[in-house]
Amino acid sequence: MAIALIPEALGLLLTPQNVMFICIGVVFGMIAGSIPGFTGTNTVAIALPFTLAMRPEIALVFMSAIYIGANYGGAIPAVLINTPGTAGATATVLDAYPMSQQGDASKALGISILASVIGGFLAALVILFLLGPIGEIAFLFTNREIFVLGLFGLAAVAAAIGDNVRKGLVSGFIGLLIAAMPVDPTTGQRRLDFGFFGLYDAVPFVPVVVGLFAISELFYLIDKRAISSDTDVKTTYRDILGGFRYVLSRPLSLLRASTLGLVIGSMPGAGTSVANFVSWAIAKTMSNDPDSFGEGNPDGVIASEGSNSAVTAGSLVPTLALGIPGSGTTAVMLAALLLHGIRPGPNLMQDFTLEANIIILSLLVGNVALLIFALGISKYLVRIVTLPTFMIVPAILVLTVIGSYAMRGSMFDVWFMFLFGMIGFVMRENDFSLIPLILGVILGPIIEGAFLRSMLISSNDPMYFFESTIAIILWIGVVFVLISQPVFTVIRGVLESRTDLF
Amino acid sequence: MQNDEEGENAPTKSTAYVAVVRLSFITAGFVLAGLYLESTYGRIRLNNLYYPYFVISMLLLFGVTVYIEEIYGLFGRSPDLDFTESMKVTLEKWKRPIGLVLIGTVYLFIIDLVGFFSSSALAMIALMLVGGSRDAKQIVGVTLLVLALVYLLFVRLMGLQPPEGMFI
Repeated sequence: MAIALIPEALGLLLTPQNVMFICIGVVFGMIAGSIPGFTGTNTVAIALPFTLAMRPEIALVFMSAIYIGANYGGAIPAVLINTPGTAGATATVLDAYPMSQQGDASKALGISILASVIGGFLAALVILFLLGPIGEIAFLFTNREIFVLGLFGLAAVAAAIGDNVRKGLVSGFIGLLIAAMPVDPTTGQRRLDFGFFGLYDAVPFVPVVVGLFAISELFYLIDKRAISSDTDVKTTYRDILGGFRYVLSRPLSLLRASTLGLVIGSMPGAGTSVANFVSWAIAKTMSNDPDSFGEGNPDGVIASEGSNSAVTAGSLVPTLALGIPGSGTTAVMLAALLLHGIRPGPNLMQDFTLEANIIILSLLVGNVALLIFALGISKYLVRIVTLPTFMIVPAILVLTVIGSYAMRGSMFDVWFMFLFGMIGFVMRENDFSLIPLILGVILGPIIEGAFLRSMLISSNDPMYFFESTIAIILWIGVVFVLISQPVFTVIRGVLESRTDLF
Repeated sequence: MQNDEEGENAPTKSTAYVAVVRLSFITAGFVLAGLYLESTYGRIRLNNLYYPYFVISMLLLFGVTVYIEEIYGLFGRSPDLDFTESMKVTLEKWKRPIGLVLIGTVYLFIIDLVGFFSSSALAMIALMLVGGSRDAKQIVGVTLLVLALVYLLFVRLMGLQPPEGMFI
């Protein structure tokens, strides 16, 4: 039982060193998350190489803390200067900034802090108790199911992220092809390494992740002068605590936002950007005063912030249990797991139950740390967005270069990162989602391994992949995901041509 | 995000240019698939190639549909600019990101030559100048601060040995 491991996981987690890393991670995440345009995904990607020298459990705790901090950090400029730091805080702007304009900036900040903390805490608590049942289901997955699950995950992420499912699939299959470039896993024969020893036995996924997310972002950041010059907002601790009291007086709103965030986050591919808007829209629909939403209704801030922080825990469910990330940030977390020898997917719940417990428990502790640090430094962090980008861009470039080098002490990895930075820029300019490609590169070796073992077991019979109930359900899932978007588009087109509904 | 999609008042770029931009990523994917086939077919036992060839088949299948969709989207355009003019407009629009690519490339080339810290200092100064900073104190201050942070984190804390050249 996973729950039986909680005391042991707590013992490993609550060491002075881990608590220190949680605090550093939360603060680092808050700082980076508060920079508009610099998402939680980029932040976690940049931090990935820093974890190389850490023990696996410390690294995972550190990454989770950054994830929590970055997720909240986006709310700070959203509240104070009408600019969401991350996509997950976009709906926060709708009510938080009008509150600031009405002189309630401190209260809005207080609401965003406590709604984030409680939302994230509740969701992590629920997930902690679901780890056991998830582990039981994971036992049913063999190589065959893992192969089909990998394809299902790729299709689900391609469909959920971006507007064009086919572009997402092209992205994902290019990722799988890149992952299949090193030596043949059964015979050791070279396949397509272009003569580079750095590609001989495995594609280094850390440079790919850092390049695609962090470097490609620099191409956009360098074109801006400063992110904002508007920091003329005064906040007081007394009013921030007033915001806390308001959140505590709305337990049902908070519970609804957390539940929505948890459920939406658990869906592969759906992340904070979806959750905060859905939650805000539902809160508006269920309110007695829907017209006040968007005009500075504090419940709108609770709905957005309570849900987007619950996504943090929710999105770790498909990531840990199935190896399918619930968001871009968890795609990078997948890379972090692999980097430290922890293989995501159904086997994780069999082989790494303790580590899974540590990760979820670290979310609980991380949210407590978030409460302390958010209260202490949020009002000052808004000054970061006034830093000129010509300072931020060179700093990030140097950090990513040394970070990619640190992985294997190889300049090849640095060049590889830079190459993928440019590829990421081209992809973004042409509306190709980055996440399926990352997923393909990360999951490629796992999917290929499962495929090869299945073929060995079945004496190369492809029908073997259709001979179990779980595999058949997953295949149906793949077909459903692939046809749902085009079918919906056709239906919508027909309705549009016949009615005035749209 | 597409930079080839013009704003309301911007001149429409050449269709050939837009096609090159829009199809660049997917074409690169096809080229990679072609090189993979060329490198593996007949050299590795076919039983071992079922998986990568399945991936390539799927890539071609979905890639061709995207190709058709993109080309279809190019019909009916009335461009104001020819290919060269379109390229000039893009270069003008993306001059800073292009500066980043050039500085980044030179930076990576000289790391082994002059050492990580020296080349990083040069790259940071160049990038800040390209970014528009003209304040010498600010440039030196930020450069020293970032490099000190890198030294503390990666060299002292993680024990990493950054690439060394003529200098450090």
